[in-house]
Amino acid sequence: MVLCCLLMGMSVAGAESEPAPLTIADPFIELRTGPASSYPVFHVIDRGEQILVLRQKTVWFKIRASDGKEGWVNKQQLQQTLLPDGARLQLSELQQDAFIERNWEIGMMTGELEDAPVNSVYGAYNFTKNFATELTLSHSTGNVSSSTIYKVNLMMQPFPQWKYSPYFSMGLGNIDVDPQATLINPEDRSNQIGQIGFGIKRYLSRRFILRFEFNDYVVFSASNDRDDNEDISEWKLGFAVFY
Amino acid sequence: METRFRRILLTALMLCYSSLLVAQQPAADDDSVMIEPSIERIEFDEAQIDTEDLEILLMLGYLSIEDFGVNELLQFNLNYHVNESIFVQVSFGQSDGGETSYEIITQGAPLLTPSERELSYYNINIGYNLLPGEAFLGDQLAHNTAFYLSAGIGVTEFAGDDRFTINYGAGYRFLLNDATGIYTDFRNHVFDMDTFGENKATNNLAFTLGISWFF
Repeated sequence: MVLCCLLMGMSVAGAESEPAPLTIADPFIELRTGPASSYPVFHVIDRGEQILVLRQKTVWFKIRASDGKEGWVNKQQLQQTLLPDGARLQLSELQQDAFIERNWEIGMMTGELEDAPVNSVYGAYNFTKNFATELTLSHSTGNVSSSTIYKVNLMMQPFPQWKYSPYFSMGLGNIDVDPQATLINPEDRSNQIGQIGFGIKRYLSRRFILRFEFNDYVVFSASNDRDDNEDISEWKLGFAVFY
Repeated sequence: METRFRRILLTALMLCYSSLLVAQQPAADDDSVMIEPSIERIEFDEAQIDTEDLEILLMLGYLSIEDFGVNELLQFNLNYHVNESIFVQVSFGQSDGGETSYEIITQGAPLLTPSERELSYYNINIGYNLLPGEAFLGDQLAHNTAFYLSAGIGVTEFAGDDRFTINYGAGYRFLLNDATGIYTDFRNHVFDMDTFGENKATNNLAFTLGISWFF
């Protein structure tokens, strides 16, 4: 009895992993040998025939026809197929709305920190449409030293629906400065930093965002030897993927 | 007294209601049996489609570090295929610098400590599938291939310092099946070195072979 139940469970699970067949509604769809428009069309499937979707690479879908032939169909053609209940297939299309409603964002940026090249990676979590918190790790390599910046900041994006959406940020963190080994008296430094910045995010397509920002850092380096805090600026351009 | 009456009344009411529910139960069952469709309906769930835009690569090869000989190189890449032509790539590599000709000839004090000789880098690249195509093995097997170009920026840590690095190169991707690929890649890593007094740009050529998995 238990074995029977297990077998039944397995067969149900097996049936679930197989997606439902789709019926072709266009006069025909074209099968290509690879997932790009430059690959040749080697087969066409006529209206009324059924296909199974096997996998997806970018906007191309590998399908299997009822005669066993396998090939790649683009998203536009796949949208012209019918579901088992006769309705037209609607594949989800990410738009600006998905960008506004996003929760997580991971990206990388590159630019200049006080004339030295800087690379950074960041992860952000959006509490609401307008507010997010962001964790950034930056690495800069200058002529006399390289520095690593860790910072956490709060971001405000007042108009997420705009095509070029501005944002403002404030954060706190730490900068570790590691002077070049060839200098005479190298001295490692680690200081707290405060940051304010502004930037622009532009939704590109699917899951991609283009981003440009400008930051101003105050390095809390004032001590007995040094009278003033340092002020450094940074610009960065990068892209991100959101979920 | 009043509460007792209320309790009895409520109990009676509850009993009546529950018996009514019990009486209604079978009737509801009969209805559902009558409209139950005999065909099992299969839903099309888009989330079931296996999307394979990410690719992880393990690469092994040689890196020629200018003045420090040719050494084994180990590299990991993560590729994200944005569309059919463009991919973005993050890569991490590790190698070791050998001895310079000067160190070998003079047999003198080493110029770098063992830990300074360790080379590691990270890069962020953009790649373009310039020549997508097919390769045929015999008359039965066809494999998708691509000749690609990629370039990017990063940081190389070598001789005790972090060095801003640009890299550019080309490679060939041969897909064994839809989920596995074989790579060969040739690349130049350019960074400045000031270890020998003057600051000069060095060209460091890497040749790697790799295997990849799409997921």
